[in-house]
Amino acid sequence: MRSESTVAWIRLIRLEFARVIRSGGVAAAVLLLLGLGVYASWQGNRRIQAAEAATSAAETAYRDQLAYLSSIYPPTTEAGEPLYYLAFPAPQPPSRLSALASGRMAVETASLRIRLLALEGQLYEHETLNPRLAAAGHLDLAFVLIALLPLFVIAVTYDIVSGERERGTWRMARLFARPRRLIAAKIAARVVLATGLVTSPALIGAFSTGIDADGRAGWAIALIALHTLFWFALCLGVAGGHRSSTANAMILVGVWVALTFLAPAVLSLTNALLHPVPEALELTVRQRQGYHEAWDLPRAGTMESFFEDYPKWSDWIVPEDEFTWAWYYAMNHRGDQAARDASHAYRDILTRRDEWARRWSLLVPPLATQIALDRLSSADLGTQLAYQEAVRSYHERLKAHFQPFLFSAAPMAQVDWDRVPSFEPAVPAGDAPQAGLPAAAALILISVCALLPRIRSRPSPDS
Amino acid sequence: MIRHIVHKEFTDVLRDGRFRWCSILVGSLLLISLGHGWVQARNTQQEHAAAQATAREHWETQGEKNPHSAAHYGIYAFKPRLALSFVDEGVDPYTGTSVWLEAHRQNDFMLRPAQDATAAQRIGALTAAQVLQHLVPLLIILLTFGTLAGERERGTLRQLLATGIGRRELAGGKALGVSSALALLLVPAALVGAAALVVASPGPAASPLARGTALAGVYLAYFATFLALSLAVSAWARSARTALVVLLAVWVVNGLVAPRVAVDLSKWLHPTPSAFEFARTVESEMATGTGDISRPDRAASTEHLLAEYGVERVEDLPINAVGVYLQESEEFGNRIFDRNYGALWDTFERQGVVHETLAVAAPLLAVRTLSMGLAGTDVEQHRHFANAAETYRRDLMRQMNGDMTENSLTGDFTYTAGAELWEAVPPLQYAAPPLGWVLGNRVLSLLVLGAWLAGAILAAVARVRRAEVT
Repeated sequence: MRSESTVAWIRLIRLEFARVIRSGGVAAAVLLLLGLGVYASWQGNRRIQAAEAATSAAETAYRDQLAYLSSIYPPTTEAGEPLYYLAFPAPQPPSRLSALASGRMAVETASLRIRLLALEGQLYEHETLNPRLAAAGHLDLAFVLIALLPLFVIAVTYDIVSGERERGTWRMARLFARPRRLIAAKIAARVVLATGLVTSPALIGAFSTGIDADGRAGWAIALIALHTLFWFALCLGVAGGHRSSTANAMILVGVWVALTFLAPAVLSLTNALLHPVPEALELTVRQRQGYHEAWDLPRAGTMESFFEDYPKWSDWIVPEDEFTWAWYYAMNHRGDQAARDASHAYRDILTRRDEWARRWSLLVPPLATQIALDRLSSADLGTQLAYQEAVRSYHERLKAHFQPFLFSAAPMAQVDWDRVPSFEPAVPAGDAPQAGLPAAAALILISVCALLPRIRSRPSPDS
Repeated sequence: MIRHIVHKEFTDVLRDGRFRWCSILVGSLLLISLGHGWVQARNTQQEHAAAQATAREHWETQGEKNPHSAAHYGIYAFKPRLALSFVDEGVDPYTGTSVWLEAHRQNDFMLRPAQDATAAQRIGALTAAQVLQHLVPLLIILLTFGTLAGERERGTLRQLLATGIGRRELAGGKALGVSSALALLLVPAALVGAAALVVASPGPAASPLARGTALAGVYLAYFATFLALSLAVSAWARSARTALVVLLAVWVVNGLVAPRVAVDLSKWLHPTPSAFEFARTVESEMATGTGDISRPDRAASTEHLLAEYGVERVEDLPINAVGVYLQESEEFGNRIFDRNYGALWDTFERQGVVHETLAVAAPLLAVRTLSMGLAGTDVEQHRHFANAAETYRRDLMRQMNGDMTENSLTGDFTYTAGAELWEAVPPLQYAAPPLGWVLGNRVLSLLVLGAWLAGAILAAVARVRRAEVT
């Protein structure tokens, strides 16, 4: 008995599936979405490869520059002089998952090169991307699945009941199964179709890029599945009622526009108003001022403030009347000191922006999914801040390594070039469940809310 | 008769709750975004003016020092926010707004608001341009898709035609009805915008009213294109539902897919070096020179100076040879910068042309280009300012090196100049390019948008003539 009903059930779904796929525009839309999805995965893969090539190129560039500087300066040159030019690579290897959701990757450079000079001015370098292209946005798999796929879901679901009713076939269809069951079969057929649309490009992307099947990838898949199911729930909630097909379509498209465009725009506007960032300008100006003033100030004063941060050198006395590299780099440090408060304020406000956006985005399913995906693939604002922190600590380690040579005015031949510290990439912010769970919970909750009108009212038996 | 149709369409829109709420929503979003854009533009402009004044003050009160130290000290230049940028912020969030002008190097622009953005800002910013480019066309589609297809479905199209009205008049009347409903929300917004420009301009501008009028014209052409397209589809489609689905597909491809595909296509056709590669190329060319730009030869220029002044030793020169060397190295650097930055900007512009060409598939691309151009926030006008700032930097360096050359002797490291020299440097005066310059850059987009408008109207006329009654 049970197996018989299962067979009937599967047959119903199969029939419905064939019907959906055969109707005019749907086949075209499926092809378009598949094409875009595969294309986006391929682009994502290329982005990762480019980022990895940049990582190794940065390493080579450092070696080349060091060899060049050693060749043009006589070995007796004080180490401070070549160190003025030498740029140390600080490449952050991309997360493989960012082939799927590239987040800020397109705008930010994750491969800074750091000189031993004042740091604040070096932290905010950016990609040489045509601003016009940056403004147009980019096409990653996350965009296809979060922004475009819901439209497809709407297009195949909005007339799920009203279409039959308007064609006069609803009464006949009801002869074969109970309305609830019929609707369930119709939805199931469409879910199968959408699942195919999600998985095929995602699998192609995952295999070509070599994404690890770890917790992060699992959460990313779960979130995309939940987000797609949310749209099905919403469509069912609206289209299961008594409205006409046209009214359903208008309502659903309206909700889509509101959730995908308006709500994020309003949230980001509110966020920007609540957390303004004038500090960015201030800190660069302060750093310049702090450094340049020091040229005309007594050197003892500059050294005094340097010793506050590095007391281990406080026994050294720097001559007032002659140029020393120790003093020169202390002046640079003075620039960073002058910008320190502004820099902290800037970071604080960005962290608060990030947290605020993460909290309030939970109300807006597409945005919650997008932000969680960015976080899972280490391409969000938080990761960028963590990267800057890693660069800061790298700069400190470089300073610690070279200070002995600068203070003793050692020739560059004496410098221990083999043991120069290397960059330690930032660890992704938050573990996978932390990034994915709130968004997943919010998606489930909102989906249930969207279904409420249908759960309470029985599907129209007669109309 | 046509008056009745216009009237009927118009009251339909006003009476139907869905249309009314959609229109009110879009209208208020437009006003909010205009208001916010204006406040933001004015604040930024004031902040920049204040920061520019502070930077100038720092420069003038830097005290006694060697002119070359002053050249290293440098000065910040801030890009002014043009008046119309409150309608369309264009590429501004991605270009940075300030640049530090110093000796020996041409710096990149800093401080891009996009740097401080969360994912929410990436999906969509609430600017008047976004509302005009995306939401108003959607509203037009919603108001128009049922005009003919709906009448046909309900069987009222036959009755209407039976009254003796021509199909073209019928369609024209419907278009006018929808347009007057749209005018109810667009005209106030345009008036508010114009008033904001005239009464309290948020920033400086070259010919703001002419630019504003041209901007309004571009958007009107865009809306008319969508209206005509929607009518054509509504006349062609079997049912209102089909018309809606087809038009939504057009809207998605036009607004969401095409711009992003255009990005990838332009990058693929005209790739740019990464920030890292670019910096490395400049570094290595600065170190060794290139084929036709060689590093300044210090020995040769010393010889030249000695011969010119008829002395034997550098110490005997009546001028400071170091000033001459510095200026020569400055000019060498400038040629390297021109070569590299020039190539980069040219690539950006070629990418822009790919974008503009693709507008034949999606009118939004043409409209976006024109809108940014007229608002003064496109890449070309950013380059215009960047060039002005760079020219200013070069003049400044020449003045510093010249002062050092003339007023001190070679080997004299104690020479200092004072406030008199710093004040003699004129502040940076920037004049935004005139309307003609902007439109001259944008001929391709104007042509494509014109072609879209003409094509859409022709399609509408042809479709309406052949529209089936049932």
